[in-house]
Amino acid sequence: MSRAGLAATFTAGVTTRNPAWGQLLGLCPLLAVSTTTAHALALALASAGVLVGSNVSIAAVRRWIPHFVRLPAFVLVVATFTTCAVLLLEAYAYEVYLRIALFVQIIVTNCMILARAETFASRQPVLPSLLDALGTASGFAIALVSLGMVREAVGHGTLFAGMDALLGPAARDWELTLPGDLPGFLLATLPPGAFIVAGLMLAAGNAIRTRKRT
Amino acid sequence: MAESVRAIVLFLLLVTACAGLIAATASLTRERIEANRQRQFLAMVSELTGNPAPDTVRWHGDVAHLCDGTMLLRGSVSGYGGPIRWLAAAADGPHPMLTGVRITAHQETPGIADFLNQPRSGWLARLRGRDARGIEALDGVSGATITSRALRRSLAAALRRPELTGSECPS
Repeated sequence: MSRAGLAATFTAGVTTRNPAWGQLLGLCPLLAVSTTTAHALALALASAGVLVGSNVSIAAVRRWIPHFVRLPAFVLVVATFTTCAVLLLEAYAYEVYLRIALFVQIIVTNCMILARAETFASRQPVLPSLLDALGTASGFAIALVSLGMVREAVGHGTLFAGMDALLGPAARDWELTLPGDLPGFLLATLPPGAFIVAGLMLAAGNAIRTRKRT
Repeated sequence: MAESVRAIVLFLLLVTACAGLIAATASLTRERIEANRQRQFLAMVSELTGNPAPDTVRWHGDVAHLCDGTMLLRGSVSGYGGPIRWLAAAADGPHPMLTGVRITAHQETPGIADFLNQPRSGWLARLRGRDARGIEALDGVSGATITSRALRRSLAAALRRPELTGSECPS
């Protein structure tokens, strides 16, 4: 694949093929975990690790996976990396683990990852698969973190609270309290708020896309 | 035939590789995870007793004397949906009084038994400061009769156990 083709593979994952806003995949963890920026970032990192690991290893062994057992094989690889991600999270970010462990465990059923394995990594060499995974992971991370930031800002009136649980003590001072001393708008942190905010962001994305086309 | 044998062998190879990766990660992270859990447990103990966290907790059966005037009790009782496991702290000595209770695992109906997850408020907080008799006298939770009755019985029985006295703490 040419250099331009590789770059296009990466950017497509962020823009047109963005798992959340373009393909509407992986919305269950997206909506459940985006209550604060820190949780959103933790899930984005875990998903990125699983996505990159599974895409690269599936691309590496794609010639040896018999066609009729490919789906069990893909799920097995994804489950392996998910288990490793959960263990690493429990070892290095225990506070975050206690809150979002369930949603990291169900990364294994995230159709975004299985879709990349089936439609891309099983047909392409390692390098394009790596870039595809990085692009998709970035797209998912951007969607997840932006949703988390909006919900945290509206719901709590803060930004980046509790980042030290994920990134170590250096991140303790990152918490920003928004000016105006806003009372938190509770709905934004509750599940209906997740749907409303995600819907508005999706609508905004569609509006931008339509305007570009005309 | 040959093709399916080949597929099985390749699939088993993949399984082995995956198992190896998980085993490697597990052995790398085991110590840190263990330390994290211990830290979490000691923080919970400190919250229950109201004293600084002890260095270690040595269980004798379901009792652990912390030698700071408090002791830990743990137990398990059949609730409505399965076993309810609890951890409690009480003043050390005869006729002990609860200083705090935490439910560490339960399978009760979500919603109705949510009070089990709220140790600082509601029904669990009302158990604080009660001895065995006081716990039995406390009203149950409406809608969760079986859950609250089972917990009351289990806690009261634990506080009445004869082996609570006879602490091995240096005096």
